[in-house]
Amino acid sequence: MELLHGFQTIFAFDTLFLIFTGVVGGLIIGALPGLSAFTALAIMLPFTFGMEAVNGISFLMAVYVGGCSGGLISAILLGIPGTPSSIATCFDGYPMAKKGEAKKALGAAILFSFIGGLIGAVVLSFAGPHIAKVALKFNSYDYFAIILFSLTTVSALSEGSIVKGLLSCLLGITFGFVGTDSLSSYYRYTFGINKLANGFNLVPVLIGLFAVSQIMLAAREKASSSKVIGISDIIQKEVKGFGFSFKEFLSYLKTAIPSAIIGLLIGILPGLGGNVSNLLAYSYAKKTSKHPEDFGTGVVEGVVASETANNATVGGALIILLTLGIPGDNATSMIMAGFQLHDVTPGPLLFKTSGVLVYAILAAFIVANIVFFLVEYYGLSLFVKMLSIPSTLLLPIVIVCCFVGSYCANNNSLDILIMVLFGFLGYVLKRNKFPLAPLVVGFILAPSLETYLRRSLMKTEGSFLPVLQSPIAAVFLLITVFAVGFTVYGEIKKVHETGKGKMI
Amino acid sequence: MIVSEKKKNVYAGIVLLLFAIFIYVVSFWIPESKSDILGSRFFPRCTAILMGILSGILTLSSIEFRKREETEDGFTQQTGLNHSLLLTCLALILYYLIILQLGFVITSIAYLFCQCLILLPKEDYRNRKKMMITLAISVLVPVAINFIFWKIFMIALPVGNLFM
Repeated sequence: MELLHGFQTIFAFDTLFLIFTGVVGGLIIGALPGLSAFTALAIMLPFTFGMEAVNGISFLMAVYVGGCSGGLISAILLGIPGTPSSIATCFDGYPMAKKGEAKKALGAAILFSFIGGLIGAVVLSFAGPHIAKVALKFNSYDYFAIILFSLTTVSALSEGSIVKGLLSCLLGITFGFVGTDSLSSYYRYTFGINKLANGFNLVPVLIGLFAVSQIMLAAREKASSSKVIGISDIIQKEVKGFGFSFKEFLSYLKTAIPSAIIGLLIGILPGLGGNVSNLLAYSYAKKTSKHPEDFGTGVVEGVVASETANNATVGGALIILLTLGIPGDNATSMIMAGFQLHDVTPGPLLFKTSGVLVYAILAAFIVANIVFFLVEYYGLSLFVKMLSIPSTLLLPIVIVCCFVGSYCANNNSLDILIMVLFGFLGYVLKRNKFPLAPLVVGFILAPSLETYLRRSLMKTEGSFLPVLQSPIAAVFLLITVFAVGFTVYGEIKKVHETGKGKMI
Repeated sequence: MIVSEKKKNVYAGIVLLLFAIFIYVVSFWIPESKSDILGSRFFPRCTAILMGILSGILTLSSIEFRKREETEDGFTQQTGLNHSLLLTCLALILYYLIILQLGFVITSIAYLFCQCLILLPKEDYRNRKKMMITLAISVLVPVAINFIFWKIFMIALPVGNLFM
C-alpha cells in the first residue's frame, strides 16, 4: 500500500523526466569504458543540489540503474567492461560478438539485466527490512569466511590453471596492501609517496588492466596480422526480438534465478557489490552447467548469469543502504552522499521517519528499471551501430575516455600513471595466460579479508576455534575447502588422463 | 623469436618468486603494531610466502614438462617486441607525461592522431579520405569531451602547467 503512495508521489512530469534523463545519462556514461556507475553518480550529484529530496534522490537512483546497465554494451561490443559489474559479461559476450552474435548477446544481456533489476526491486520493496535483519546478525567471522570463499572460488574457477588463478589473486591481494593499514593506521608499501596513503584507486586499476592492455594487444595483433582484428570486421547475424525463442528463454531462467539470488545476497553484504556478484554468478553457472568447457567461448548462459546478478545486486545494495545506512560499494556511497545533501539519514529509522520518501525512492527504482529496459531495447540498433566504427579509431578514443575517467575519479594525476602501469601489467599477464578476474577480486576484497580476520582474532584473543564454531562461517569455510579440493582433484585427473601436462 | 609456453611459465614463475621475496623483505619496514595479535606485517608476509610457494610450483612443473616436451612438438608462440607495440607503449607514457604540461586538449589531439596512425594498416597512409577522417576525429573528440566536462559538468580537465 505504501508502495502505491510512492508511485503517486513520483508520477509527476518533472520527476519522471528526471528519471528518464538519469537513466539515459547513466547508460551513456556507463557504456564508455572507464566511466563507471560511480563516475556517472559523481558527475550527476552536483546537479541535485537545487532539487527537492524526492526528485534529487530519484534522479540519482536512475543514474545508478543506467550506469550499472550501460557497462554491458562495451563489454559485449569491445570486450572491455564498461563498469566493474560487467567483467564476467566480457567472458562470453565478446566471444559471441566475434562469432557474429552481438545482437543476440545484447538482447539477452538487456532482458536479463531487466529481470535481475526487477527481482532486486521487488525484494527490496517487500522483503528488505527482513533480509537486513539477517545480515545484521553476521559477525566478522562470517564476513571473513564469505570473502575467503569468494576469493578461492573465483581463482579456482577462472580460465586457465588453478596455479595461475591463485597467483593472479595473490598479486591482487598484494596490490590491496598498498596504503594505510585500517587497524594500525601504519603506511604499507607506499614508499614515501603520500598520494598512495589511500591505496590504489579501483577505477584506474581496472581501466588499466582491461582497457589499456586491450590497445596494446590490438597494436601487437596489427603487427602480426597486418590488420587490426576487431568485431567491426565480422558480419553480425540479424535477429528477431531478443534473438532467442520463448523455449530458450525458459531454459535461461534456470541460470537467471540462482544468479539473481547470488546478486541479491552479495548486494546485501557490505563491501561486496556487482563487481563480485557477476563473477560469482558466472562461476556458479559454469560449475553447474552440463558443458562448463563451453564457457568463455561465447555461450548465452554466461552473459545471462553475469547481467542478472549485477542488476539484482543493485537492489541488494540498496536494501543494506536504506535499512542499515551502510553503503555496499563505492556507487552506493555516492547515493548516500546524495541522501546527506538533502538532510536525509539512511538507517533503520528511515522507514518510520521518512516513510513517504522511502517508498517514493523504491517506486523510482522500479520505474528506472522499466525505463532502462525500454531505452536500451529500443536503442539497441543504435548501440549495435557502434560496430561500424573501426577499432583503429574507437580504441584510441576509448583510451582518451579512460584518461578522463581515471583523472576524474579523484582529480589526481597519479591515477593516470597508475592506469598506464596497470595497463602494462595487464598486457603481460594476458600474454602469459594469467586470468585477470582473480587479480581484480583479490584487490577489491583484500582489505576486508584482512580486517575481518584480525578483528575476529582480536575478539577471540588469538583463538581460531570460535571462528569455526560460528555456523555461517563454518559452512562457507567448508564449501571453500570442498570447492578448492574438487578443482585440484579435477586438474590432477585431467593431467593423468592426458598423460602430459595440462595443469600448468 | 619463438618461445614455448612452458618456457614463458618458467620466466613468469621466476619473476613472481622475486616479487614475493621483495614483498617479504619490504614488510620489515612496516612498523610492528601491537593493537592486534596478527599485526600489520602478518598478511603481507603470509601472501608473499604463498606466492613464493605457488611460483615455485609453476616454475618447477614447467621445467619438468619442458623436459618431456623436448622430443615432442610443444605449443610455441611468437614473442618479442614489435614496432606497433613499442610505439603504443611510448605514446601512452608520453601522453601521461605531456598532459600535465600541455593540458588535455592539445595532448589528446596529438595522442589520438599518433595512436590512430600506429594502428592503421600501412596501405591506409596514402588514403587521403581516411587520413582526413582520422585527423578530424583526433581534433573533434578531445574538444567535445573538454567542452562537455567544462561547460556542462563543471569539471576542469588538466589545462597544463604551461598555460597556468
